[in-house]
Amino acid sequence: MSDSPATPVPPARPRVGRGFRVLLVVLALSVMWSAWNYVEARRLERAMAALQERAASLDPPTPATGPKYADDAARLYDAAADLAINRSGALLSGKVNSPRLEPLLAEDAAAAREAVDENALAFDLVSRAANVPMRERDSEYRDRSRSRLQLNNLFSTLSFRTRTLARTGEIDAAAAALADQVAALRMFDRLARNPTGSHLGAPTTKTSMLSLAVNNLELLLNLERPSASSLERLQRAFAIDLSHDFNTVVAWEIHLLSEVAPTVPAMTRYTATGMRIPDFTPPLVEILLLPAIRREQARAADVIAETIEASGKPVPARLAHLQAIFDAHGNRGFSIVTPWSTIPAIVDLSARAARNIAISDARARCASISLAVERYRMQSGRVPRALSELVPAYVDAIPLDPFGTGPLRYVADAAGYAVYSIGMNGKDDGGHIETVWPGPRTPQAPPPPPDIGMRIAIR
Amino acid sequence: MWWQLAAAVVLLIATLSLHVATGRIDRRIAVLTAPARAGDEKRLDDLARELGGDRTARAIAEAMLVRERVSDRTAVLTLEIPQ
Repeated sequence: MSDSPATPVPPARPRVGRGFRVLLVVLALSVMWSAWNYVEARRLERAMAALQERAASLDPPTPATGPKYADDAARLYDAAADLAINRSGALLSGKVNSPRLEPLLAEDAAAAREAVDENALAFDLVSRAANVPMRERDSEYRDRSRSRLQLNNLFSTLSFRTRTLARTGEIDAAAAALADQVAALRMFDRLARNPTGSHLGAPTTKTSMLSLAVNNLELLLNLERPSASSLERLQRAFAIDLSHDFNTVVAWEIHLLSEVAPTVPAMTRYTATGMRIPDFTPPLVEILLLPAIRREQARAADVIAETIEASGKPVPARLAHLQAIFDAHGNRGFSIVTPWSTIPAIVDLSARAARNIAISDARARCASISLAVERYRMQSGRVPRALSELVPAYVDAIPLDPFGTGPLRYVADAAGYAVYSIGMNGKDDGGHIETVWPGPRTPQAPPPPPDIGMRIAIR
Repeated sequence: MWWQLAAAVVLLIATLSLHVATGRIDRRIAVLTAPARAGDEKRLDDLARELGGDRTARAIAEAMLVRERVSDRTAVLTLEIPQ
């Protein structure tokens, strides 16, 4: 019997199943992801805490006080807007709203007058409703939201009326409509400053409204001088200050970030030009990218904190600072979290809003002083040699130039006079003003006019 | 075998601990951002009460507010502001 040694059989080692190995890998990846998520959450918390600390230095939006809006004005608006704007036709509307500082041609004037006369009752009711104290029901969400929209539309209706009457020689009636128009803007401002979140679209809308009102005043004063009482009423109306609105914009940006910071928004995507809601949202992608999205939110908090720092500076330094923020963050190219990022929207809004608020503020100050000059001219038969001649009989003090260091500038010659701010280029161009009219949004903002203000021809 | 099991348990515990810690941070962030959202919540309560006050009313109110936020944002972000 051969005694060949048996080949030793190695002891059976417990085998790790493929499934278990996969589980280990998944767990390892999960730990890595969770650690990343934890680190980014800490970063976001620190950034949000720093932002809240900075935000404490912002003046809170003033709560809405005073008269509230009534449902009547809403119904009246619908009637008036429908009658006056829709029936008058786009062609006529285009002529009435033309930027040229000229009267209408005879046949157009007749048609425009007819449109206004036909609707005189509706217009009067609307104008009256705009000054009626509004019911307290406005504190409710639905009323406020509706009121804001309708005030904006009422404002447009009154603008149509102002321009039509001005171009057809009814200067005092046009002045009354313009004063109503500014009253509608004031009511809008009161509603929009209510710090409940429903003011979100307002700061940008208000600059647009104020700008239209100033354009209308420029048209009116260039065509004919209203009576002394109309001038006084308009001067009171145009003593409107929207310069607080940049703080509202910043508060809105904090609100926007505060909504999305605690969780990943399931539906919302932000882009530089607006928000879109895609039909299909892959939640897994959002979950996997959550840490990266948190990091982007922390960066957005840092950007807003820097915006708050800029908001405390005088206008020229503020605009330069905001432009620097825009250049640094506005277009960073595509990254994996771009669809979730609020940063492009925030920096775009800050830069545009600050610029437009400052410009409309400067224009409103110039409008108010131009009206004082007109009152002076009516009394003394000549324009003042310097704005200081208006103090104190026609105005308490000459407002400061938001873009400069001193008061508003003034230049007069035989053809007319200009009250102006030195504008965004920071230098006095001798009252070279170009009226800029509302237009469609373009990717590049139009070049700023050399000086900002109002030029009135003497006829 | 034992060390692989131990590794799995450690990894699991680590993941869960990190989740719990992150959850705590998330709650702190929610508290931090609460003032900015307080107005929204009040409006939501008001609207839900106005619509009947039950759970359905609250769901409808939430949907309405989301729609308004969308329109507000669109207004802010897409509006060109004239001078």
